[in-house]
Amino acid sequence: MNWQEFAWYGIRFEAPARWQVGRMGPRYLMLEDDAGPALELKWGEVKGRFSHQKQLRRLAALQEKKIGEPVKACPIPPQWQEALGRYKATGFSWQGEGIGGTGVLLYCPACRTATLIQFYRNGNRQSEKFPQRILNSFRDHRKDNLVTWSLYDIKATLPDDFKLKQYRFEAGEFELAFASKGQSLNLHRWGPATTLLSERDLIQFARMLIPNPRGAGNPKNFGDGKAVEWRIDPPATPWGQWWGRINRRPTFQWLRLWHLPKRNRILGVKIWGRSPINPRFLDWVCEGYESL
Amino acid sequence: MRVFKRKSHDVGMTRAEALKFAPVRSTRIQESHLESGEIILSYPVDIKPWVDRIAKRFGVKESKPIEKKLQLDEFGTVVWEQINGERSVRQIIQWFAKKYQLHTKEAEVSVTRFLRELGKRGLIGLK
Repeated sequence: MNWQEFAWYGIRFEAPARWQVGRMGPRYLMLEDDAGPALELKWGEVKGRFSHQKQLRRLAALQEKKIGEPVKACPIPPQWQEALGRYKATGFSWQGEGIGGTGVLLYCPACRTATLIQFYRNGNRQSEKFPQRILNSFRDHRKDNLVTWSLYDIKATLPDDFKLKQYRFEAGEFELAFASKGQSLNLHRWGPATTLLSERDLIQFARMLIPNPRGAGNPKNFGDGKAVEWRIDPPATPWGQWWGRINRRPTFQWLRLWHLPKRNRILGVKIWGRSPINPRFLDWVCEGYESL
Repeated sequence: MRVFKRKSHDVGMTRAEALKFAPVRSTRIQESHLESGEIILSYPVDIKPWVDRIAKRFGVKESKPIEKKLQLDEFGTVVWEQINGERSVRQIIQWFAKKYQLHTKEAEVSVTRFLRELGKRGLIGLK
């Protein structure tokens, strides 16, 4: 069986590749298979003192309101305990009509993140090996101040000060919009490239992203295929620099799009802000952004 | 008696069951092919009885059925060509995902949205 990495809002774990994202949100993921929901995760930063009992009571009330079934605390299965050794964990379970759930409430003292992981029992789907491997692979922080983002067929690694502001996963077009202090960064992914580039080249396609780009775009090679890059800086004249300072709009923009012929995708990174963009940073982001 | 009864969460059909259905083309459709390979579907739209009655009052003796046209794009055309009453929705999705190297979920969203649109216009049924 194939397994895939899922990474979203700071957490990451492996799950069977045939499990698909059913619902998603800020610090929320639900994966489902053909039979229905399979795995649900909710997480958030804890600002004060974390109480497992208090959170479990809150969860029980929510669950009862949602599906009418009570949630009960239960011991964590021994094989799960091994995987969750680094967390303070509490087990819980509930059973409804034809569907049930078993999960854990985790608290990581290192990053002060509380996570609820719930495995759904639905028909005879649940294999005992799934939860153990998923929990084994679960991580809620990295030590290098980076955050991995991996959903569907894209994967990127960014500094943790870039916060996700908007996201869009539509058939044919994905977009993740991040912002940090003074800079914004967008990750794009389009497909299938054969169709999108059948009547226009990569430069013409890129022009749709920057409405009035100055210059023709700089063709280059990146990865296995062709790439095009635009860099827009304020004019070097004193007037241009003065205008750049008082103008509210971003004055520095950098866009790179590249075609992955083997994957039949086009990936793009756009960075913009009011301060100069480090070219090494753009290279680093692009090298870490891939289509799986 | 409970006035505010809790809503049932039973949706009646799982995703797996829904994907097992095979779409079937309506027999009232005429296809024409463009040079680009894309397909135009022409299909009659029945006039609603109340519109027909109003038309008669205004002296229109016999209202002809209106013919509508739907031009499919490249993706619509290839999916339309896969609809033969035998292939299930799941098979069409898998074929579509493989042809365009799309993520399965992405292909599922595209194909099911397209089939839903065809269904709304009465161009296909499911068996």
